[in-house]
Amino acid sequence: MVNKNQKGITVIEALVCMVIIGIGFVAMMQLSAYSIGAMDRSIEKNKMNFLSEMVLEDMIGDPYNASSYANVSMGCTYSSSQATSLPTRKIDKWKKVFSEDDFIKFNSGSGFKNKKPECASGDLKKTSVVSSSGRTQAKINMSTGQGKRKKFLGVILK
Amino acid sequence: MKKLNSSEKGFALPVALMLLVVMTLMGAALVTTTSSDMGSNNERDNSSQAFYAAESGISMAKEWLALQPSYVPGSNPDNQLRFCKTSLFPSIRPGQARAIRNQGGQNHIYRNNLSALISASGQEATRLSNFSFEYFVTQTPDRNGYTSSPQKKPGTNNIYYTIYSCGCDASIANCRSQNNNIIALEAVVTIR
Amino acid sequence: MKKNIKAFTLAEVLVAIVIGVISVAAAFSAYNYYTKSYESVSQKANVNSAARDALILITKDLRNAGFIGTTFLTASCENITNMRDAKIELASVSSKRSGPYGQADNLMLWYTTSPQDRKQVSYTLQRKQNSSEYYLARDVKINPEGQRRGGCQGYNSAFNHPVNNELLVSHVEDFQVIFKDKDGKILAPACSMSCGPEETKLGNNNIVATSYGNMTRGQANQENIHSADIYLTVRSPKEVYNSNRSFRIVNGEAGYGSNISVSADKYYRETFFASVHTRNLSIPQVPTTNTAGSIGEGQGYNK
Repeated sequence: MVNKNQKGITVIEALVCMVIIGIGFVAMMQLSAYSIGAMDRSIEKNKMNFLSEMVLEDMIGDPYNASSYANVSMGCTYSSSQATSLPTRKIDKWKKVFSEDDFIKFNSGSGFKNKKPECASGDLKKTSVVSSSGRTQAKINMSTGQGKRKKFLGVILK
Repeated sequence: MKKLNSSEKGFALPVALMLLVVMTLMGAALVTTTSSDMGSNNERDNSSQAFYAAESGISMAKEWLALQPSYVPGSNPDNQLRFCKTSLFPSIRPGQARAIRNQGGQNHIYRNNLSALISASGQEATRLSNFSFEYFVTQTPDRNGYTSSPQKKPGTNNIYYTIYSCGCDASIANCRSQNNNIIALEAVVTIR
Repeated sequence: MKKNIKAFTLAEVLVAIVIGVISVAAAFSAYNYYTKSYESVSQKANVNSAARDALILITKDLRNAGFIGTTFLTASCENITNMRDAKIELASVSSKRSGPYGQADNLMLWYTTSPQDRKQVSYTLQRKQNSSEYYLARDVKINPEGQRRGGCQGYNSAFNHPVNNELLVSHVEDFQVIFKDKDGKILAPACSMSCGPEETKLGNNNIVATSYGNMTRGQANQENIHSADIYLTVRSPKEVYNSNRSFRIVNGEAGYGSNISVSADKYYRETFFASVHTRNLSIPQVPTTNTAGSIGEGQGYNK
């Protein structure tokens, strides 16, 4: 007869414990995977903060031509264009810098790849300039991650 | 004894348990690092918009100045200012600011939320309503910080005016100098 | 002999050992992966926050650069009594190449903080003794000319106390500053004195007559700076990747900037870019129609 007062761990208990600890490990793995992604997104967000300031700064530097900076959309790829005036040069620079085309390339064995920011086709990076009765306002509107992450900066130019 | 035999064999379980505890602690550190980094990003974003709110104040002030027929120094505006106190500006001698008056003879002070001036809707409008600016204008202070006598641009008859504008990362109703980010800017202008 | 001695058979013990070893190995490898990813996240957070803080300071300084208070000239500790002396030093980029790959810039700028005081801020890449690591240093001097010429040596203690080469960002790979004029074209040289090779190339074309007297081309260009682009490439303090990778860093445009090849290693690198309208340097854009607009002379911060 099995003596129920015997101290010890039965096989069932041990198995259940192992399963629980296994779940714990899996949860930690999920956490670390999520953190890695979150950190990368945080770095991109940091860079985007400075880039959206760049857009406003350029508009502040040319307030009387603000309409040339309206409705500019920064996409995911960049192709250089002939720029001959201040607004077109600035806009060309914005597009280039937002696509991070030139910054860092790395080669982990299979050729140099661009370290590009995450960019989906639905992402929005757009300026808007509104003028009424002599007053001009400028805004930059960004939404990434399928609209889950939004950013917005606005200023009155003059 | 069965008890001894069982505990002899239990080396995997305690090891795994300890590792799990260590990993949990590190996980807590990981979450803290990541969320504090994201928090810094947000904070920087807010102070950036507060800076542009202050610049918007300067633009509004320039607009106002251009329309005035005359510029008469008034009195110390500190009592009427909510967060853009004259003590934020070292170039003004304490208590010696003389704000330019409006047409009604009062010190001209203007404050507003960005949402009232920048057209936006939805989430943008909500965000903009949490940023505001406040400004006042004086004649540019002389080298001792007094603003009552006009300083002229050398070689011209143009008087220098200084716009003192502050941006806040809260609406005008909620902005408190102790709790909020206040960005203080000055701009020196002449009127043509 | 009693056969009811409780004990484990050899098979049971072997199986138990094998299972135990496998599960501990699994646990350790999970732990190892976990530790690596923790290291990597914490290194990236380090890089991110150092670059953020540095760029916030640099952009703020560049916005103030060239601000000369209306009352400064008449009461300065630097014995500066005419505009020409003040405008010789506004904001300059030295073309002396520095940094770990010999391609980085040094930035220096000046602005007045009170009727008596003028502040000089310089950003350079410095190396610690006995080390090959470069860090971005920020150095602040108040009234540098006054200290040289014997003007009032003290400074207004209400403002920042001078710091010497404060370490801003460690492990900096590259730092580029590119000035642009009001047409958006690259403006070079723009420097207060001894620009280096770029100015020497100009030869006799180097002296320019300005409304403030004769200046070198580099000095005259300082007043035409409309915007500044800043590139900062930072490396993580410790290795992050599992396998070696080589990098190519290209910061800048068309002949002005850097082109760096880094051979294989496991460090994490990131380039941060910021751009500022240098409000106190550029000649204000004047409206052509008379809208009774006022003209901004300059803007300054107080903090």
